Amino acid sequence: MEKEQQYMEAYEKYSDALFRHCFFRLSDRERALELVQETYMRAWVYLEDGEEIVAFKAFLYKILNNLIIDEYRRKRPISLDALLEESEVLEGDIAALRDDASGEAMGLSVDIEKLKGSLAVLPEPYKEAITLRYIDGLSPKEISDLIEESENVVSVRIHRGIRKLREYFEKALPTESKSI
Amino acid sequence: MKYTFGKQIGDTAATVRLSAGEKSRMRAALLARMHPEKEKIKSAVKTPMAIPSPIVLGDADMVSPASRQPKGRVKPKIYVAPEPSFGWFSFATFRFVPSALALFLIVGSGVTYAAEGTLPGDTLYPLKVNFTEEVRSAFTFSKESEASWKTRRAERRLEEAEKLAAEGRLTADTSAALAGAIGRHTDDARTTLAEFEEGDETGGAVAIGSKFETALAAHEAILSHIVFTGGGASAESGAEVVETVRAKLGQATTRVRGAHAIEAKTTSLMAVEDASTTEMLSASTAASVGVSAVVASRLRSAAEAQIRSMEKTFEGLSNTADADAKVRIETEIAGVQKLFADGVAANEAGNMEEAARLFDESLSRARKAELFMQAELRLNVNLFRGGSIFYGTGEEDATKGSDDSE
Repeated sequence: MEKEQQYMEAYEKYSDALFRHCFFRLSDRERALELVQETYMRAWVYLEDGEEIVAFKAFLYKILNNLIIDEYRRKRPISLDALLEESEVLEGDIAALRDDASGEAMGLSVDIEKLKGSLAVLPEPYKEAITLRYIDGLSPKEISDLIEESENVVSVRIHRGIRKLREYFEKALPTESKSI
Repeated sequence: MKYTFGKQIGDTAATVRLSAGEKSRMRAALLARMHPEKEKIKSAVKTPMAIPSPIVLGDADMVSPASRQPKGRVKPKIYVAPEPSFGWFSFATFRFVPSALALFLIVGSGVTYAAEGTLPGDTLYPLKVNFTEEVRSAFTFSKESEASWKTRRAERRLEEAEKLAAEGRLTADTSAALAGAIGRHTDDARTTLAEFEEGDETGGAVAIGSKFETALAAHEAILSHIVFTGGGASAESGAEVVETVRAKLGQATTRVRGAHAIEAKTTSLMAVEDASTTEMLSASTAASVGVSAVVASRLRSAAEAQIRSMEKTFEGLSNTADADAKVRIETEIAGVQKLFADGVAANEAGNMEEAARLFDESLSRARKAELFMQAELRLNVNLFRGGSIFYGTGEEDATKGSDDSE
């Protein structure tokens, strides 16, 4: 009984966050829903087998992350064209990237479509690092435990990832960025 | 700064979440996985209850004993309910076919079908109330289906009154006639419910009663809104119906239902619930009913079905409702979801009284929200419009202006 309660609590508590994570990793709402459900199903099977889950959050993230990796493997390599099309980033815009546009000085307006589009083109493992760090709010240490890389590697990925993401933002919709 | 940008990302992303519907569907799927046995029982129990219209053939599996009665006797004295495991399919077996056909010919024929949509004053309306509904009444073979149908019948009158009022066709005469019918059917339904409740251990009476009283309160609000914001003439002619509904609401004496009516009158739909009032009322409700696990489980499935139905209605509405209304509805849906989730938690924790209370409340609020949405769909009455005073009591409607009528 207690097990069930903990499990349902974990559902209420983390399902939105897991869904959000998966949504940005896959850029596919329906698939994200399925994977989150699968995540919880697997957690239940684990509990049913008499196992204990000490830290639900980390445990669930772990399952989900594995499912996402499986998903990537299962899928054919995604064509960049398709991604660009989906995120409405025009090739010309990317070429027209200005190196001198210092992201630090610009206040970028971040909206959901832009975020989704930019993350969609951000390559792994940066996408993973950025999603875990900024969307899920995990610390580099937690991320390092989760993806089994050193904290140093994680930090580098976050650093590079955020820089790339910034670039996409500035490129994708240069007209919408405005100075503070 | 990088941190700021990262935070911006986080804040933006935070708007992505499971919709209320997605969350509850997933929850249901998980619960089904966790308790496969329970799910089976639940669906078996639910089947005979789902009788939304008199034309539904599913009822036909209950007709068989009648067909073996001497000619002219429609209602059998003794009826043994079919095995739940047969459910819907029993009506496909051979011996049921003639009676199914008979019911279809009686209730499903063109004329009676046409009569279904009529309102008081229409030519075919008497056929609807004196024939179709009477036949329908004859085909209820358990206290539960009887109670369910009788509450439905009272609601049908209320819906007619609303429709007439919304179209400006509610005259003093029809108002009086409807008021009489509403009073009669409400009393009738309550009597049957009380009888049903007597020997009922399934929680079915509580669920039906709870839904019904909520429906009464919601219809009272909808009617008041239409009648009192619709201008002088309709206010005068409609007053009688509204008065009747209010009087009936006030008479709700039985345990669960009494608490509900008061709750519905005193708390507004969209307002953040006044925790103390609601809790006090509901707690006394739960205590007096002597809630068992069975009741909790029954209320749970009823609430679950109602929530699903509410979400479906919202999907139908989402094209027409304005943004402000949508936000209000969504907030309410989320609130109901939360209540239900809390109920599930309490249920799992073995706290049956608390679970029953929460399921009951979520059932009631989901029903109310659905009825308001349906009123918007059917009657084009904007009950969720911003700044509407509508969620308050009917009295306020009567005194305040008609900002919403245009």
